[in-house]
Amino acid sequence: MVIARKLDEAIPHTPIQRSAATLSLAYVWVAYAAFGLAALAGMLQGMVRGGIIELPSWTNYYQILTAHGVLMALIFTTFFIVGFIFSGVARTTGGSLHGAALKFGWAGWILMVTGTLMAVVTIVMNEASVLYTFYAPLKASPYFYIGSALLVVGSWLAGFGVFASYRKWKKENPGKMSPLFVFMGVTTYVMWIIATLPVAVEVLFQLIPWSLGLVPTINIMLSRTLFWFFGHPLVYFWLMPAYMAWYVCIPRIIGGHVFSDSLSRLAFICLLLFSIPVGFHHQLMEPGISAGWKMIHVVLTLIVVIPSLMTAFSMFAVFETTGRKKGGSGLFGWLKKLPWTDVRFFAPFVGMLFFIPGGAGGIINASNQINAVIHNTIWVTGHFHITVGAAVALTFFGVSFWLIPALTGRKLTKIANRMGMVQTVFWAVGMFLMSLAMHTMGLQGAPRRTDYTTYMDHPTALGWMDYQRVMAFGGGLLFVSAVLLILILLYLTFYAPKGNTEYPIAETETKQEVPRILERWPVWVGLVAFLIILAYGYPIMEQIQHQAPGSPPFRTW
Amino acid sequence: METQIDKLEQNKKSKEKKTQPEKEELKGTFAAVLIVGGIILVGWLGVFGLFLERA
Ligand code: HEM
Ligand SMILES: [Cu+2]
Repeated sequence: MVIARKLDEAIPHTPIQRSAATLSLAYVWVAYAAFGLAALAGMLQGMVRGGIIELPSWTNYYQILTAHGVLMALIFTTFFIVGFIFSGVARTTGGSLHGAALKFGWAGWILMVTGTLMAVVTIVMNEASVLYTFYAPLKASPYFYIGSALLVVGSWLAGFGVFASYRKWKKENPGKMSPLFVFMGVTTYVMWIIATLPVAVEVLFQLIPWSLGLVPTINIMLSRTLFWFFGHPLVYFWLMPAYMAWYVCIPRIIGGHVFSDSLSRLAFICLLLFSIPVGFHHQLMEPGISAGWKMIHVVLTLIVVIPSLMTAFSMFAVFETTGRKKGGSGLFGWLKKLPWTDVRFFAPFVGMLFFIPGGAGGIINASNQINAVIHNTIWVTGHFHITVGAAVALTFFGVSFWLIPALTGRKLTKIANRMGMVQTVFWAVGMFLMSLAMHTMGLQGAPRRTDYTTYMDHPTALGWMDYQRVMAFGGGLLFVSAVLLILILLYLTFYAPKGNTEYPIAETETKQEVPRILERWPVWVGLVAFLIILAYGYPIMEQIQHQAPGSPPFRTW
Repeated sequence: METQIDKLEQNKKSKEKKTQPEKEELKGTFAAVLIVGGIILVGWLGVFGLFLERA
């Protein structure tokens, strides 16, 4: 709270009222604190696997791997997303958040920070090296699970804050379609709250009692199923806010317009519908689920190709129409007219490029048979580093370069912009090398989540070593980039000259009619419920009724 | 003299104008999404090839 008050004093005038700006900034900075620690852990992992360093005896590979996964994938992402959505909702609903939204926002922040601290302390004390998926029967300290539950509940409160703002706007603007950013924020939270309910059940009713020793064994199959019910939509929870920046902010940055209001909203509704009933695509090698149910999930998964390609099309269309208006001609001449030296565009654009092989890899992963080629290999790690670690992360960096100065009433200076470009290039090259090595090794069978080993000098494993070192080198570049990023963001928070930075929100070029049905929440939530019952109803019932013998806890570290 | 129908026509036209941006050229976009589709196909077929080879 003291920090909050200090930040409050530092803010003169912003495109968003101070109270909302402070809230958003408080979330964003927790995100970057987690990010910094996680980047250090990530670099160390690469070095260890590459045989370049050995960890001191007071820590071990799986402890820092857990820290890295939890801090990056759960803490950095969630805090940034909540802060970003709050700021955009304030910006597009009149520049402020009202009392109820602010109260929910701060209550959520407190719960989320408390949960984060509990998780981090247990990991540091080596009581929770269960990796970020916290799969049973690996058992962490109960405080780790309680912390993650608080993190989730806190994010729900933040969601309620956004719903409250949305309801207030609707009341004040009867009959009008909500602003695109707000619509997308609400869709994201509706998806998130539905998706996190089962993992809350897993944590509260399975993991915590078992970890406390109140029950001797745990139903492994059920706990994994509940985890992936949440685990896949989790990746859409990362992606949808990045899409929000792509659909709503980027067009404005390049001097263009939202391509199609209806198409953007429809893409989000598709993501809401099809990101949840698909979790078995992470469990394709699991013996306890029959092939038929896996197939249903695979088919539903592949439907997500539709909104993804809609997004790709929309982005290209925005770039092309804008570039042509600026005089670009020929098949690809419009590309030259884009603002390549503006980091607010450049960073997310590079992220979009990474998303092309990322999406292609996702289709491979989800295909039942060829999943066998890559399952649990480090290909998977390569895959999510180019999706969340590059596409999403670079978008969040690009947003931060304008969001933070907009929130602190400072200017994104030329020099900060240039440093941002350098930082982006380091991140892109590092991620390219690291993930290319991961993909290649994965196809040769190298497992993920594995400390340095040569498997008793087995020739196959020795063949991976060159790639392991490329991976380590990429990780080094990434760490340099992360340090640079944090320095730039500190500068933009505390030292950049005072002034106005735009909060870019694009609109459609001409007024577009949007089908009302897109905002009929009961219809969409009803459809989500139907799809979930279709995809999960019977398998979950079966897993409860025909339980295999449960497992006692294990501590492998 | 303006008839009811003329007016309707006019209304329709002005509405069209408002909701329909001037004809946009999206050749490049079309080419770009085809390239994306191509990358997806090549990658998928490549790994499927590995699967068949190892199966
Ligand atoms: C400084 C940049 C980064 C470096 C050097 C890095 C490096 C690594 C390495 C070497 C692994 C472990 C491979 C293994 O043994 O399985 C890993 C795992 C992981 N990374 Fe990163 N990474 C970076 C950024 C990110 C970002 C931005 C995210 C997500 C937002 C992320 C999420 C993860 C996750 C979820 C895991 C898996 C943890 C697990 O298997 O439990 N990383 N990373
Ligand atoms: Cu998934």
